[in-house]
Amino acid sequence: MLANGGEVPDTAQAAACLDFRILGPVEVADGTGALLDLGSRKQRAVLTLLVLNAPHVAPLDQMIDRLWADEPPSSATGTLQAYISQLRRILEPLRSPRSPARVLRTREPGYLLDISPDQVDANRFSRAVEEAQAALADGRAWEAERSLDAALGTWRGEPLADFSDRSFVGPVVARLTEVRLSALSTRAEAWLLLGRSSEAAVEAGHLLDLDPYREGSWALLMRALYRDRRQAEALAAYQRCRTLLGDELGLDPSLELRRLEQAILDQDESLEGSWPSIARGEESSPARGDGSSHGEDVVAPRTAGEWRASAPRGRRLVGREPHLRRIRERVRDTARGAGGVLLVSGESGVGKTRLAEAAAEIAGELGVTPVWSRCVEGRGAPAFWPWIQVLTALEEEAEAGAGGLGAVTREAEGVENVIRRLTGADGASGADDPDTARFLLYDAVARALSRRAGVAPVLILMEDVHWADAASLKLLTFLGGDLHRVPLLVLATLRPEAAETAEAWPALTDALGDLTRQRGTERMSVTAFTREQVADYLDDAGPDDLGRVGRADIGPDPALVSALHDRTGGNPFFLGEVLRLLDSVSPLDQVAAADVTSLSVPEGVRDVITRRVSRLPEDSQTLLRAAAVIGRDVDADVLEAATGIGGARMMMLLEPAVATGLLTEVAGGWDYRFSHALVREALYTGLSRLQRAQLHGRVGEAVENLHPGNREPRLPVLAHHFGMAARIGHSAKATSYAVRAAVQAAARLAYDEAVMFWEQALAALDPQSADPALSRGALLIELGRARRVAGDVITAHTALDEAVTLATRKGDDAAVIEAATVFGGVTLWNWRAYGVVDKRMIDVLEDQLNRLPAGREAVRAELLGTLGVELYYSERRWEGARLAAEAVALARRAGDHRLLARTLNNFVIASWTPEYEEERYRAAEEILSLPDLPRAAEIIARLHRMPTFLREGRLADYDAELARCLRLTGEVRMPELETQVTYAATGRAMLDGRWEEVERLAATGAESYRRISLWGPEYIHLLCAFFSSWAQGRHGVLVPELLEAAEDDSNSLLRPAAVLAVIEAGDEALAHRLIDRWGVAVERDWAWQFVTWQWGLVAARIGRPDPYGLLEELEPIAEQLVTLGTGCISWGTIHGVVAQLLHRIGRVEEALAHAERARETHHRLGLRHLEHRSAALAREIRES
Amino acid sequence: MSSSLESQPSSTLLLREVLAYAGATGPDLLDEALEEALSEVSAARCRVYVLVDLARPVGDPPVAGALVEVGQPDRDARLRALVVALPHRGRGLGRRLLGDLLTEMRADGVQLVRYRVAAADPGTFSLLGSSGFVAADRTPIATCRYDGPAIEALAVAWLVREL
Repeated sequence: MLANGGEVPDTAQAAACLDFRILGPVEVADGTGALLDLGSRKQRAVLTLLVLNAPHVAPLDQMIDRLWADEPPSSATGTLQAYISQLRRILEPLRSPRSPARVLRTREPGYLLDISPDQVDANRFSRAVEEAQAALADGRAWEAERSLDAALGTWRGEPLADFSDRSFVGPVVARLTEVRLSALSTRAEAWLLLGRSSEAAVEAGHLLDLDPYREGSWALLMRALYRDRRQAEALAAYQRCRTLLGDELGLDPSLELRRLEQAILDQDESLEGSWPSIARGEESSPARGDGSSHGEDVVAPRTAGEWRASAPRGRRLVGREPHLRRIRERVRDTARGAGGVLLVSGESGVGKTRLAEAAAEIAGELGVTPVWSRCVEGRGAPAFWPWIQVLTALEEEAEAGAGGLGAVTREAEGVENVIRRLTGADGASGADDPDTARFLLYDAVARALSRRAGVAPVLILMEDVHWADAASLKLLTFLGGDLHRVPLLVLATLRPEAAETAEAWPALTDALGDLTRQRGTERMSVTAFTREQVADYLDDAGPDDLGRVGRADIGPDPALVSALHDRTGGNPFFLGEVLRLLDSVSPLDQVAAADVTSLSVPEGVRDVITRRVSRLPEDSQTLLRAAAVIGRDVDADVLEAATGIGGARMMMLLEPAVATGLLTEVAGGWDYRFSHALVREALYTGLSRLQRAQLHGRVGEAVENLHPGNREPRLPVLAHHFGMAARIGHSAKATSYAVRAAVQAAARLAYDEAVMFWEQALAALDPQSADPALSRGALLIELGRARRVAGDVITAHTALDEAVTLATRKGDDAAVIEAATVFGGVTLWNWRAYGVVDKRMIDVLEDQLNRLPAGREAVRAELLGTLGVELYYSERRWEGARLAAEAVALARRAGDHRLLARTLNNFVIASWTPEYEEERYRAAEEILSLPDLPRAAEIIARLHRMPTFLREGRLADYDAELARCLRLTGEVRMPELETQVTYAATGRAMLDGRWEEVERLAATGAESYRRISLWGPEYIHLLCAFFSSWAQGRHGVLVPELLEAAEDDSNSLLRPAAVLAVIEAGDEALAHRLIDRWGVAVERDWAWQFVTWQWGLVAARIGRPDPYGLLEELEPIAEQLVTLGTGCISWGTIHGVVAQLLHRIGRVEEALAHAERARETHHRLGLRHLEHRSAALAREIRES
Repeated sequence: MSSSLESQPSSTLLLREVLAYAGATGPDLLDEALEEALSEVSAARCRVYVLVDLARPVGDPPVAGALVEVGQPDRDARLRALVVALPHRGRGLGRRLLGDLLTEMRADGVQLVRYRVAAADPGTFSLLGSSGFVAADRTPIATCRYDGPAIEALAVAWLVREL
């Protein structure tokens, strides 16, 4: 909702002309002098309280206590709010209902009468008295007399006469009465100086009638009588005073009065002038009798027991000094050009936002521009939302600061374009394949931010990244890699406990893992207060806008500190809330440990909030609950529409929530924001499931109705709210909006969000839906496709299997084909787990092929290619390779590059056997020759080509290819490809004997692999670890792990390694038993060379499997280097194992020749640790 | 419709003002009172308030309603009817509605609310009596028995409450 742009001058002028009068019955006059009708007595009492406290905030709780004499009814808050609303109308009659109040404002912790001191008659009077006293001291008696005459004329009777029975006016009335006495006294002094002695004597008499113990008045009387030539009366006055003081109080007259008597007796000349003490104004001025200083308003008290002023913002952050020091260092580094990512994590309420605010202040001091963005809980925000906020803010800031600076303006235009791309407003992604498009998008954001930061350093304060969408997290990770070279620091706050339930939890885990490894990223934990810090906190004046806890002179009571620490666990937010709650019951300076430990303080922070909410008017509570359903940021228009009440009433009802700090008003608009995520959560969780659903439905409809023509930007919000209301009649809308949001997310390259929305669409789907586009089958296919793109292979299959089942049952061939061929797209790896054959899918594909009409060759090619891959682990592997080759031929005839890339890729996977190595290599070459090849397809083709380079010992080619793949994966950032490229690097490090690097890369690859649910990450890691240990001479390790893993048939390629480990551990008998149990069959699949090599190593040691048979297999490929898959485990030349086998069967000369060839090869390739092993082997053979 | 307000963990009831026309509050809630009011004063002076539950379907009728006639000057108002829908009675909603109404009127600057005692509605008489309303002539109505004949016998014509 947009704010009413400017202040209406008339309104502002009228407000400034209001005259608040309390020197008599309370009244307010407008600019014309007309008195306003202030309404009922209680309403006038409310105004009186505000006037007495102006210009400070009158806390809501204390107003209630004073108005209802400490026995407030349950409706007190609502009633008070009603009076406030009515008073606003009276004080600002020209203000429209939806323009902000400027006279009677809501300010936590209550209400503020925002007027100048001179708008209160008592303040004007007080000031006039002070000025008159100054004039008198300056000898300007005439001026003093005239000023005081006017001031005293403003008195209309007893101050606050209509509330004389209310205790809250007592101190103010007493003070005002004192000021008036002082005024009268000063005027009499002025008369004396002006020669009007008799009038002064009469006035002194009046003053003594009012207060006979006031010695100043006696002195005045004596001097006036003396100057009036009535010396005897003057001396008699002294005697009366002495008698009175002696009889009544047992006191003697003061030294000053005694001197005056002596002066009269001496007829001292000084008596003709002004009496020094009075002239200097030294007599205790009633206006300042309480210790207040000159210049302060007489009606605004200053003592600790009275109203408390708003505590200033920006007080020190207790217990966070080390954090602030580090933040300052990082901001300073940023200003010098070295930014990064600072992750501030801590439990809810621990003060992360306060720290971020402090960081913003530091940034301001150091010339770094702070920019805020907040992530939104749930699914209600569009993809990239926190970044859109950042870029928008930067753009606005650039525009605001541009002036005549052309460079900044041009930069703003660049940012604008990036925002358009992030929001999908600019449809051109610049690339066809999703991964390249995403890279280009991320790159564009990075460039825009870098350019902007190059103009002036930037601090991005990103709150609640645990709620960020996956796309935003990936972008953060992308940017994080380079920020140490850019004057841009991202300070992101994070709640680990909330993250575990967040939508993007896996993405967050990944992002944090990636960021942690990046240079320039630092994690900062914010923990709860210690007992000492709680004491500091209390000593530091408590929470904002609250008073001091404990006595100012001795600090807080240790028992109270201990009780508060125990109850709140040192959580600053909880501590603040408990103090607020206690403050609403009794003044904080009177709170004791017993109050805290008693049952009056609830156990949890949510209970505290709930109790605070329960003190609000019931309608306000209802409105807050509806607001909580909208989210932490509350669009006032949506709330108004969802609840069906008018804007003015809505604002009135929310005022107490603002006054008590549960809600804040968003500056520059009408919207609200919950002061803390926990406040919203407490309200939301207090609703039943049905209540939530109904309210979400209302909110969804409100959003719809408010934006009938432009719902695209709000699709995630609509999908979220209707999704939450799907089970109560909003299913169709929930599904429809979720589908649109999914399509939109994919278009914006936010693939994880697309998956989320497809899942949501399915969850919300009405089984009876008649719309074919919204059928379960159609949604499953899209979900499968989205999961596949996002790299979640197994769950993609689950969705597609169900889609095939549904489509088959319906006889919908098109849907069957569509679902069944999703996996036939370009992919690096076989999508089935090792050795798994999906016979049902094979049947489905063959059935579709059989029934496919002639002329649909492209579809046939897709089906054949997919079937070829599906047959890979079956007994029909050769047929599969043939079918895939047929698919390639069809695609080639069709002249469709995209189809050809797909089918060539199918062929490379379907024919992954030793026999097809040459064809596979050529197929990969052909893929790389195709035009407009997406980056992902390029990486895949290169990865398929690289094992050939390695086997052939073409390490320079391998290294060049690896370098290109590493660069490309940095751009594409697909977990599946990242994993395989990492594995390729792992094997290469293994060849070089860089063991620490091997371990690090293997762990990284395994972690990355887990994110994509393909087969085997832990087993590949295990194999890497075993061979790494083996190579380093650590024998007998990892035996239990290998044995356990190898027991599973789908891990049969680990079996020779397990047997080898057992042999190395010295248990040859067990090795034989394992071979008996498992057998030694070797599949001629992608792992054939590696598995056969391993069995060769085993046979060389124990004579099993048959060394002769293995020699037959291995001798022909003795020149090859050993490698597994895409290179995750790579070893030296096969000459080595051939030498060992030959040696085993007694063919020593041949064995030695192979060992020498191995050593030469390793030497030639620079593989030192392998060269040493080969040399050692040759020595061993020679010496045998 | 059955009510389940008691089992709800948090109230989602909200007072709303609706246009004053026949049927504004759903069938049988305020129709009779509204018809009578509209025959005596203009619609502009009639204000209809309903208590709705936001956690019920949008089309559900309100759980309670009240009709207020704004006086001339508007510092006075007359409460003409206050009705809780049958399925929701006995749950304190009348008191809730009255509290909301008084707050609303107070915010509108109303300083005095009147209610003309109807022998046929002892429930409202009872509610108002325990909510600070007094007889216009200051008869302490708390001592009255709240049944029709007793009210008639008292000859109390109006109850009033200053805000």
